[in-house]
Amino acid sequence: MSDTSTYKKILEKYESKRENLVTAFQDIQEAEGFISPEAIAEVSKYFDISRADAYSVVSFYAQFKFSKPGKHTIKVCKGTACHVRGSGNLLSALEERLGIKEGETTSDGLVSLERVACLGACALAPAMVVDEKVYGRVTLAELDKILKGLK
Amino acid sequence: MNTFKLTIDGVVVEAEQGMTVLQAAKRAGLFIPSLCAHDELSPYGACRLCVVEIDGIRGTPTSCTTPAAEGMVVRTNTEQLQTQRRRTIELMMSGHPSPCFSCDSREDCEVEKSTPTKAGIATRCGACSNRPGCELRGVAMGNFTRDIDLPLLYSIDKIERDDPFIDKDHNLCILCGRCFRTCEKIHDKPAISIANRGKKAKISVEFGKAWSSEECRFCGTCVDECPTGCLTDRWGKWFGVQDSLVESVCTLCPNHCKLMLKVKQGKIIGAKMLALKKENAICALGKFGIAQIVNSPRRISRMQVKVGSEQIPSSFEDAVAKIKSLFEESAGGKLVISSRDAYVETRRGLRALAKKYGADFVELAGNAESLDAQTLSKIENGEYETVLVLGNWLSAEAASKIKHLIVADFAKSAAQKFADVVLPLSIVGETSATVAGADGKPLGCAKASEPALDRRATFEYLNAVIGDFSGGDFELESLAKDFASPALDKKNLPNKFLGHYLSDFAPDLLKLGLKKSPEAAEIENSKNGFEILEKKMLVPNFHSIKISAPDAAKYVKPGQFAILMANANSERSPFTIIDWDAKEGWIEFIVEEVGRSSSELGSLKKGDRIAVMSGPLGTPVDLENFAPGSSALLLGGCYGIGAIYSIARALKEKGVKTTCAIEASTSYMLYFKDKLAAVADKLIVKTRDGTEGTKGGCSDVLAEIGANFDSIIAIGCVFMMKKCAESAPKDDSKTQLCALNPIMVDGTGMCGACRVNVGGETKFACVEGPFFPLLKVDFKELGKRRTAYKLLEIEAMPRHIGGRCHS
Repeated sequence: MSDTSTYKKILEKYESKRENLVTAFQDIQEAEGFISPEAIAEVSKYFDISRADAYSVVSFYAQFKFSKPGKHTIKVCKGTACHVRGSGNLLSALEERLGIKEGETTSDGLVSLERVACLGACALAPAMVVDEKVYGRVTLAELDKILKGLK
Repeated sequence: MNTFKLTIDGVVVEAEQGMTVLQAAKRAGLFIPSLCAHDELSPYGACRLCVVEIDGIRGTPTSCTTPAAEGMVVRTNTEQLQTQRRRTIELMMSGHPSPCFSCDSREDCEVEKSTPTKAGIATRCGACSNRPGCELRGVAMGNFTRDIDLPLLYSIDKIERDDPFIDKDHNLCILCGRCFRTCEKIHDKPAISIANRGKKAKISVEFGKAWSSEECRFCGTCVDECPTGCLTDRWGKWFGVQDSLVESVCTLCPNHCKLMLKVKQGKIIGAKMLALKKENAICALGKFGIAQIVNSPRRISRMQVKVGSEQIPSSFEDAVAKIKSLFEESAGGKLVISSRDAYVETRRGLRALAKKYGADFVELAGNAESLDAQTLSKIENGEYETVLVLGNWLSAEAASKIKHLIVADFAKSAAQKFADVVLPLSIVGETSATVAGADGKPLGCAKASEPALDRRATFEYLNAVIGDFSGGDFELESLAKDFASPALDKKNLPNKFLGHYLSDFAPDLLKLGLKKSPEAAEIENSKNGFEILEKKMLVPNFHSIKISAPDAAKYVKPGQFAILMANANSERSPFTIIDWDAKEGWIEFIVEEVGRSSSELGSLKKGDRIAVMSGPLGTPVDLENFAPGSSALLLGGCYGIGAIYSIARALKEKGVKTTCAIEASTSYMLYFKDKLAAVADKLIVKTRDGTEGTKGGCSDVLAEIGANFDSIIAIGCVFMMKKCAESAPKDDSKTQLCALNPIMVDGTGMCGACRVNVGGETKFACVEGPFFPLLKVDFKELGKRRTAYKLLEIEAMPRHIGGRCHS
């Protein structure tokens, strides 16, 4: 968790106006990886709004996360092509093996699991991305190999 | 003011500059349905009900956000708009507990049950406190067919009952935003807002925390402005809509805020802000506390004068004479203890009393911890022979050292049993008197409710004792200066009023950080009674509770019940036994939350204890009447679904061919389907809204196939059994029974409260019942007797989160 000076440094760049709220939160997420209750408290103080109000803005956008992401992020594509090629099974297999639900992070902080709409790799369906690397036509056997490789 | 003209539905109307189309229509007396629009709040355009067609404007704009303009031509009720509104309401209803809307018996049922059931959770209009004043219902009734072609999105997860004073059920929320717009208007920065979006959107503080942990001050104004039953006053909601609003003053802290008291049938049932303006902000104590304190069972109501060693109820004259004689004849030290919480007239009067009789005078701040050490030590040394105390400032020990004690108080206290005279007081809203306003000037407090029984203001007693004291030396000071307003910050809420811990009267205040009285802490630590081995919420408001009762479990037979009390102060109420095991020594009950006692039971958890279980009681079902190989139809509605289980099991063991038909308002209220299917030859499922099984109820089953059975048993609410009696085969040779559930006290035939009329004869349901011939019961009388204590039942509702109330 950052101390308040980190937030101050980020917030100083912005005039305390409501229209700067989202970009300020984007900067904080960039620095910390997620939006913490402390960040909400500092930002609402800076912009002179209530915490509920700040949270309302942040929680509206899917881009903001509220828990610290894992060391690795697995994004499973649930676009049309991947869906048809069984990405649902892929996702539930991942959920089962990792013991977490989509949108969560393993308790050891190693892996976060996400669902995305389309990776634009329809020809490779079902596809998933681990950190920056794309895996196509993933099978359950391959999945186990990929998971083993994460350290 | 500039005015201009526009045409709405062919009528030329006049509007003022700055008005919206909706406001212009309203001004002209034309109705456009709307929910999120509010005269005092900024336009929002959320509910989409006020859509209109305007020439030259594309689509169907919302009239609440469209400024009216010169020459506009507006249509408010075309076929397309009607369809659009109906669809919008259907979408609202798909997440709403709506079975009552879809039910074909709605009108009949609502005549029978003129007030909603006091259930913990609003699973339908009939169990929703907001039914009498619901705006959604009002709008929907006018724009709705009974059929909803959308899936049910009801979820038990959307119910929050952990915050003080306010129950939240997001199933009922239509995201109109009135609550947070109200909050923003009064407190500038809204403590609540809409978190998340889409299906997950809900009114919330940050991270879905409890509101009490956040910026919310619990002024409860959002509750007043909520058009549905989403936000409700946990305790006061069951009174329904007030008869009148009386402008008065809250005297519970020195800020003396002006507010509106809600009055119904002469009772104060709640409070609200004078107007939706920042300067009229009130605190949790004003909003929720007043009604809970005024109607508290801790209040005292009888004047008492000691004769010999006994306190006996006395007249006003006797009490006054006694006070006079005690002060006049006392040779020893005299003391008058006053409180700054009291009315100006009272404080002046107490000074005059002390002066007249040469007594010492002490005046405490209302929120003071205790008397000053010097006065206390004088009392303990027996230096005072005669003491008059206003409020709860003397411990039992201190009181016992005083020879002649006069106690003026509004509630019970430990000192009272030592008193020669006890004077019951009227308080907030029950007295027409004066306090110091925020500006230091006298502020009149209007009486909103006639004080009950002997209750009077202290100055009325004093007037009679010492005559006119209006000229007495007393200078009004403004107290608000040394007392930060709790309307601005809940940390400023006072702990005490007239020496009483306020949390004793409104226990939810503990969650806002107020102190607990030593007495309340003591009750909490007591451990007696029957241990709960298992507790499940089967469906919202319905619980199965399994308790350890080895002695009683040996004697249970199908169809019996027992009297349960959650704690020592609970009411005695009968509950049906659904299962038991003599060897393992347990009994299982079905409990439906319908009022205080059942809510208290419903709030218990595994490992908790039930104070009283007396049973098994009642005459079991006579299994002799069901011959092996014959056919039986068991009908269960609501709690009756659980109640028929043990009977069905016993009949199966006897070789009776049993069909069970169960009825619930909607799919999410059905339970025991598997259990019943295992013991019945056939299971028929009915829901009032048709979301599972077939649409309708048990009476429809009876009408269709009742004649095919040798015997019939119906168990459910009075309305359900009455309907069954109407459609049952009119054949006296068949065994046709129902199980009655009138008000009971002892359950052993002594009190007579449970009397029912069966075929013109009076029977006691507790010993001769609960089973009686279905065709012979006078259900109308039963329904009437069951509602005899309607208002008192509301007053008794738990004042505490989870209903574990000791007040």
